[in-house]
Amino acid sequence: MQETANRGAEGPLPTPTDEALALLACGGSTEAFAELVRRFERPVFGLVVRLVRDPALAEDLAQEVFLRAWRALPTFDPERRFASWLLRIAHNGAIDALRRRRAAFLLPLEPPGDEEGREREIADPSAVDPEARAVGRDLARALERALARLRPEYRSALLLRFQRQLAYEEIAEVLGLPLGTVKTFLHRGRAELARALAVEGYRLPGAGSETGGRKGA
Amino acid sequence: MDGTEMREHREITPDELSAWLRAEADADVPEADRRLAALFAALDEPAPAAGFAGRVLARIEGEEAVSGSRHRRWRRLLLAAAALVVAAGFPWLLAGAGAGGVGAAAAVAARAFAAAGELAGGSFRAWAALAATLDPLARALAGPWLVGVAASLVLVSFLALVSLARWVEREKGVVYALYVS
Repeated sequence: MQETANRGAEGPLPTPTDEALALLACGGSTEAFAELVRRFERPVFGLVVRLVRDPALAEDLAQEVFLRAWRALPTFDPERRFASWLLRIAHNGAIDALRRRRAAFLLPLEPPGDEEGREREIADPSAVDPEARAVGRDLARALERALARLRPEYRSALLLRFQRQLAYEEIAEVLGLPLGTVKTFLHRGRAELARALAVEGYRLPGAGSETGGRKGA
Repeated sequence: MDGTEMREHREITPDELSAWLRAEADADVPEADRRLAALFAALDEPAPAAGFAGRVLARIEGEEAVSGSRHRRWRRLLLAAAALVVAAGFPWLLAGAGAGGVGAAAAVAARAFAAAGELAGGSFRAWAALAATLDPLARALAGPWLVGVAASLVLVSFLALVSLARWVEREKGVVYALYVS
């Protein structure tokens, strides 16, 4: 991969903003676009894979997102945030794929990145208490499964808000929804997530089982 | 959000989960938001397989190469068509000129202009006939009652389309990701 045109090998030059890189890419700089791909491959892939629940399909869709973005760069308004614009393309692409492939939803769920986690576990066994790590892994899996039970729109809204820390207005822009609808989606999404976790066996003491859930808490 | 952000991995604890569920149960929205953000921050961030950016750029380059070759193919086709027209027309002109020298060539050219004029005249006559046919309809449309009927039809169609669009929009929401354990 080549370096961004603005990034020198020496000296503390300021890192170009996403929007500046988008402008360079719009002028035909594939180096600038490569830098944007590197910056956004995780956010885009993360959103898409959590929507379609299929890593192979998600890889293909994520590539398609960047291809679409490359083609649509002349329509990008640099006054707006590149991240919101790109995530909107990603969200729409994933939702379209879900509509096309309803049958493909019935996939066994494993938290994405689990393999990576295992590698980390082997590489650094003394970092966290193994029992706590096992409990943490179970909780993370339960949370991923609960998240996967939500409607894709709720899932997107929650991920954008709580994982990507986007403002309500930005989420509205990404999802192409009015602000009020986004707030409703977040409210309902949180409530449904809590219910889905209860199905997984994680609920408050008053609501049934022990605090922290059934698995080792 | 910036694409460059990196997060440290940490495990979720049962206490964190309970704290969020308690805040939700108490309808303490700011606290629930804070707790849920902490839970999401502890989730693994999925990443594509190594070399993702390279694969994207390879697809872009491939696409541009295909698009470039398509343009080149069109250019070649246009040139070939032009060459064909010239090649077909040249012997015909020569044949005309050969029969009687420059005078015959001028006569051929004059006939060609005359034929073109006939063709243009024919098309104007066809337009005139069409206009004559449509004239009564245009006059009828100018009447107020027919305009009213047409406007009502347009309004009803528009409302039907809007309802259909809303219905389709609502259907969009019915997409669920089920899971098989």
